[in-house]
Amino acid sequence: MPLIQLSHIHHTYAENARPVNALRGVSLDIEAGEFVAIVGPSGSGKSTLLNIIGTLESPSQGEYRFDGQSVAEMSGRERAQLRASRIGFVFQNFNLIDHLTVFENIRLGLRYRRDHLKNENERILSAMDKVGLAHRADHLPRELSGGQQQRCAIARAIVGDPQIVLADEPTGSLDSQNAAQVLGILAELNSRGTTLVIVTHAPRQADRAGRVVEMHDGRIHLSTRRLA
Amino acid sequence: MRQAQRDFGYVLRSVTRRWGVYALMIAGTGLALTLTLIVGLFIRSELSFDRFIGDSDRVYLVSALYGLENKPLVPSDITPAGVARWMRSDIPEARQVARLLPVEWAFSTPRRIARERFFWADSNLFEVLDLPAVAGDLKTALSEPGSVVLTQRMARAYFGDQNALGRTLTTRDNQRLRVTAILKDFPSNTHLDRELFVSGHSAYSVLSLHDANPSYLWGICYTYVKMAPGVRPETVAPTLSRLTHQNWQGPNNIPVSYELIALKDLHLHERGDLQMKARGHVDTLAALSLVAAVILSIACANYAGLVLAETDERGAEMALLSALGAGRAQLLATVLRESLIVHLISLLVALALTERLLPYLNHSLNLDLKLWTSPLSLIAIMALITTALAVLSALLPAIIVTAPSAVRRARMRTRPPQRWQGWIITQFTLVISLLIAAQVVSRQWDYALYNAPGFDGDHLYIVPRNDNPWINRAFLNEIEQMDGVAGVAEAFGAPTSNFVRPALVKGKDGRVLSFTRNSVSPDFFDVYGIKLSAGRGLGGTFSEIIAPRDVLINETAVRALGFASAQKALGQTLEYETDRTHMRSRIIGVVPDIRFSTVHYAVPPMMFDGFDRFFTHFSIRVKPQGEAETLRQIDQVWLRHTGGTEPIARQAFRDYLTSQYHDLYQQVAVSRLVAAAAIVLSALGLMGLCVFLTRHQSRELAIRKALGAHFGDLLRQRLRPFWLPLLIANIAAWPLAGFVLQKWLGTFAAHVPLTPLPFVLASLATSACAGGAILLHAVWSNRSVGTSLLRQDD
Repeated sequence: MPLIQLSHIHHTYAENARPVNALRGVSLDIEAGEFVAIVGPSGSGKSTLLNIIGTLESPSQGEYRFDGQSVAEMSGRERAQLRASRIGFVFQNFNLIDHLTVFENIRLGLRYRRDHLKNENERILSAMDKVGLAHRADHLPRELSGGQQQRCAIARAIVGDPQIVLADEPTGSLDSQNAAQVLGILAELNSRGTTLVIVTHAPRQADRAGRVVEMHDGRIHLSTRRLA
Repeated sequence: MRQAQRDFGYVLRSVTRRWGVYALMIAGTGLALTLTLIVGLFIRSELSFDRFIGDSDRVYLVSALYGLENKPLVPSDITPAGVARWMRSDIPEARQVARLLPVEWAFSTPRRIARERFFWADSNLFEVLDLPAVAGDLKTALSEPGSVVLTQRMARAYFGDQNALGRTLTTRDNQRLRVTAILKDFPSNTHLDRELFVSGHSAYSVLSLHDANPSYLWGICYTYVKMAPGVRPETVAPTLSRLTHQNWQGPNNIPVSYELIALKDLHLHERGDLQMKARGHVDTLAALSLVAAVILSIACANYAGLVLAETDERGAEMALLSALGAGRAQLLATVLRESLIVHLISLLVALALTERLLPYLNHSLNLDLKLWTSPLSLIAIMALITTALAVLSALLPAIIVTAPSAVRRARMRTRPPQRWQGWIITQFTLVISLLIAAQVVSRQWDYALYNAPGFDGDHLYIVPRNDNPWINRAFLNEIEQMDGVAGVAEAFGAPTSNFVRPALVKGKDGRVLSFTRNSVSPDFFDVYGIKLSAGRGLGGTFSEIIAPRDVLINETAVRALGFASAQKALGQTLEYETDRTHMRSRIIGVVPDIRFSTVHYAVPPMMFDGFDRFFTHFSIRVKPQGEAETLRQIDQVWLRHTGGTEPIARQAFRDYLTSQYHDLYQQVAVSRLVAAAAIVLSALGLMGLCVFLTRHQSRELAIRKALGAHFGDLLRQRLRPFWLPLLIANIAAWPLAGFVLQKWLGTFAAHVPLTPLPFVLASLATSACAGGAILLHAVWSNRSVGTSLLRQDD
């Protein structure tokens, strides 16, 4: 059974009181452990699709199942818990909280889980170690470089061992060296079994994915799998 | 002009673009200005009491002070009739002296018949009280017996639209009074409580009776004196005391000394017994001024806070203007001009709101405040206040938003909640303090009205007796038989005054104590529902001026006399001086402490006897079932026995008591109004703060939401900046409010205890209000906390 099952997803939102059809009948299955890259021009619906997969937004129509369970039938609290324990997010602009230290920002990844994990501190230190930020624990985000900030965001996303990591343009704000480093960390994560979905403009990043989903005007235009 | 037009247009565009923020600014500032206006009008009215009377600064009311020397004296507004005679003959500095003697009679014309409160007045009254007239010659208007002067309002009531001058009013005894002058209607801010003045030369007037009998020296009239220019009243009072001792022939309740109170100061002078109208208090005005200043400060800070909430946006705008060549001074002027325009709009809102609110306020507080009595000075003062407010509100934000961007960023680097904590603490401290104050003032009000008298005042009515004893007897006999009447008693003074007749009692240790001597019918205590503490009640009444055989005393008297208990006082002999007679009576009973005066005075030692010659009031206890019908029947019985010439002057005890607490009632109403306004203002400020914090926190909240936080988690996150300030505000507000209220309660001789309950309730209510406002805003803005902030592009 696929981890993510999207069937005929439509999503409409209002912009300046006018309806915008961001998604028009998207159907997509993502297996556990897959590395999927979603590509397409601006306004094609990539980020909306990612947000729906992350349960940050609810589709206007269609059915979304996460690990076989209908997301529409979940309460707001259950969806929040799903995000807290099974989904990790990485954003282009890092979205770290300015007044929290690196350690505290990463701890936020565990903060809202109901199934409190043991050895929280060890997990946080381990996540920091994985992204090479162990020496920056007490620093504030503004004291870090862009690449370090994104690595901190990745540590926050993976600290709770999520089943899936959703990354929205994770290297969009980075120089090529930092971008390669971040992408390397994400690929490494996927190689250990974590499902990875990234939205990207960069063909090189998409090339590293097992499957490339190309979107255009709210629809999946093309879905191609790379042979292993 | 063109610049002003451009600014106004610019502000209007800003208003439409950020209408929510500007609505909060205008609502908060408008409300604060409204309250300031109302407080200002009230203070103006209080300070201009009796100013419509000419020469009000050199016309004085003679106040007599009664009691024992070297003891706290009880001031009384009334003096013996002889005081005026002595002043006229022996104090040349007193240019004119005139008296008013308050009475209540029935008057009739073909158009109207009513029981009316009026004054017997000396013929030279209007040379002392220079009242404006619309018809007739006031100099001679009261010279002739049977002449009457009335106000336009009374003239309309009795004669309609006809010219009242020269027409006649008929009294209950068929005496005909001729209208000789008509006065302009009095404003509400005067101490005069009646609008009919009848010549005291009339043979049937009480003034004539007293002037004909110089030994009649009990306090009955208000004495006014117009002093020669430059004469200080303090120099006259000792002479008057000496004259009193020289001429005294009356009973032993001789005034110890006198005080002359200028009419312009009378309303705010310390309390006196038997004042015509309940007075105001200078402390109330000071408290109101302070509260108005505090409310303006809140509005000022709220405005500043909201401008600061816009700092990022305004900072960018200022940077752009700066890049286009604007200097710092020009940038500052832009922000200040905008503030001025917003405040002027708020002033218009305030004027409109005040106009709408005043009728309700006048009705509920028995006031007659008018907004436009002197429009130019009003507009000038309000424009001045508004301009000052506009500058003060905008100065700090203007300095910050017009600062070079690096400086601004440094100033704004502190986390928003920390930056705002001082202000949140101040707001909460004020709201908690005002809520505590409003509760304590309300409790004191309830205590004064319901607990302090010491008896059940519900369904109790007071009716002044008729001058004809046969009518009184017949009325009493008939209403006692009514099914709806639970009991009827008679008394001298009680329950409308504590200080009717002093009695000087010799204590066990030889000390002389001042008691009040109350004369009541035997069933008085039953009617008032008072159970004796010890002994038995009075067996009957007597009419001769002799020593009462039996008396009752109150518990304060038991303590003052040094008895160990009420029981120990029974059977003891009470020796005292009253009515120029040394008397000895036996104590047969003790009653609990009951109060016939306001809580401003302590319960004095009291004695009760059955001397019925001067009974003044009936006290009627009515059964609650069918009360209205019983009252109607009582009124009919009265009318029948008085031959239809004199309507009954019935008053519910509660109404009487309420009228005695005019100043306290105003304080209750004002404290509630101010507390409500402060809460609304603080809520507006809090909402502004929520908007500001949400704007600054929205990205953080969106991140937390993405990481699995649900609504409750986000709400806790929103509430977090407020808990610590709330706690600190409580720590600050409790002792502050406790200190002020303890001082305030200390101005009463009897008051409620300051318990922790109002403090706890105020804190809970403030927490609930703050939590509620934040919750509401959280629910309202929850949808906006989301993904759009996190996404970059589609």
